Amino acid sequence: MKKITILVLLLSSTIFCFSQNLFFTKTGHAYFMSHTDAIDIDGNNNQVTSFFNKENGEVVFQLLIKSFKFTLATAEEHFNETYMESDKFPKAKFKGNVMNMNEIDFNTDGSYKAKVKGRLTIHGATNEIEQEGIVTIKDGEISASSKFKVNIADYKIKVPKMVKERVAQTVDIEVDFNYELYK
Amino acid sequence: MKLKFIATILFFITLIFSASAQDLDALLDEETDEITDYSIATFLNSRIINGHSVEQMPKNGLDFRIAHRFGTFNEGGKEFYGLDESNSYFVLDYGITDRIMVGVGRATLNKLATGYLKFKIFRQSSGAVNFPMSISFLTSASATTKTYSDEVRNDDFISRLDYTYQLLLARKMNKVSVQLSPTFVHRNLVDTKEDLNNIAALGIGGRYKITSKWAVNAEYFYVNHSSLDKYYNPLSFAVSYQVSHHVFQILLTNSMPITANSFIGNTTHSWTNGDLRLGFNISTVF
Repeated sequence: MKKITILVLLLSSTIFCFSQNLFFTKTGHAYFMSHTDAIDIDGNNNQVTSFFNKENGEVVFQLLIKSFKFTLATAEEHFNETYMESDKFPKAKFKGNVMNMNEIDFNTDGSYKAKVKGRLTIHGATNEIEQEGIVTIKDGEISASSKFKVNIADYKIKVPKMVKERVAQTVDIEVDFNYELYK
Repeated sequence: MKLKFIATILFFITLIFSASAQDLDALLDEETDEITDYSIATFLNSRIINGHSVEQMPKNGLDFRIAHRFGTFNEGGKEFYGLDESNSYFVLDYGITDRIMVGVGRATLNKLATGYLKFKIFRQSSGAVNFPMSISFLTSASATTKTYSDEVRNDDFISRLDYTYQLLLARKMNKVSVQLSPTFVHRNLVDTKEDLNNIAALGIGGRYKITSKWAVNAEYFYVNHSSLDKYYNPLSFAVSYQVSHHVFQILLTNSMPITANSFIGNTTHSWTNGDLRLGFNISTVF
């Protein structure tokens, strides 16, 4: 009987522990910039969903391509219809892990370099990527951000010849998330 | 016994963790909210061919448009098959908000000055909010600034004004878009007693998107003309090409006028007589 009690206690603590470790946000931010000498095209997406598991370092995020808002008036149509084909490929997604979880102290305020490795899916094409990000702990709140570059050819995004000099081959991406506990 | 017990616990822990690992995918989809997916680019451009489409400039978008109509082919070699003659129309369109666009223009035919306002009432959407079509309202006024031989008419500014009101109802179905344009034109002064001051018309237009850059457009207006048999319904076909900030249209039409008040009420050539003309529209967005 005693043993069963311990078992139940242990199990429930594991479950409890798990629920204390999963963080999420629905209002994450993603930004991209295509910089060329001819023109800068950039867009913001403030509806990025992300989960981060503090226990095992698992991190995922997902966004809808159509939620991007653009500085340049006509960019939305070209972005969705010509380049991203967002009807065919509505989502972009990352699924990976923080590789150096032991270097991040979630109990002490500060900024920590995080090495993240995983699979990024854009435009229906998936690539293994390894990037650096920053995990910030402040008053027990976790936030994370990363800046990285994406070679659009890796994701089979085609650019018509006539506008080649107006669309960057390498696009700068920034993501940032302010996590809260997932209940 | 003790060993078995620990093994059981370990088993459960791994079970929970493996379950949680798989679950993130499902959680991600669960927590990604459905958005309202508004149809964009029902047409490549703010005009189908002659008439307005439901498209308009977004806030602060500026569109400089040049339209050109040549003479008819059957004018023969002496007029270089119509290319010697031309009517040009220059327009500046500007998006005040994402829903309100204004424009001013100038056509060489009758030295016409035009101004209009287009308002987006509903947008076709799916997802969180479903609506089957885009609906816009267009109101425009134009003034003939040419000098008449009749001096009394010259001084009467009011008589130079025409007004056009249109409801634009469009639906995009993947590569095909169709639009109905119920139209009302009021002309303050017309040429003869038999001409109508008020004209009702129903426009039907469409486009078929061939690739992301190429499309074909067609446009027809059924007009309740006066009893005079010199007026015809305008029918136009165009091939559209879009690249970067430009849309080029090369077109075949029976109407020389380009502005709504006159291509609806004043098309005096007919496809059946071979009175076809070539034209083009160029739109450059800033």
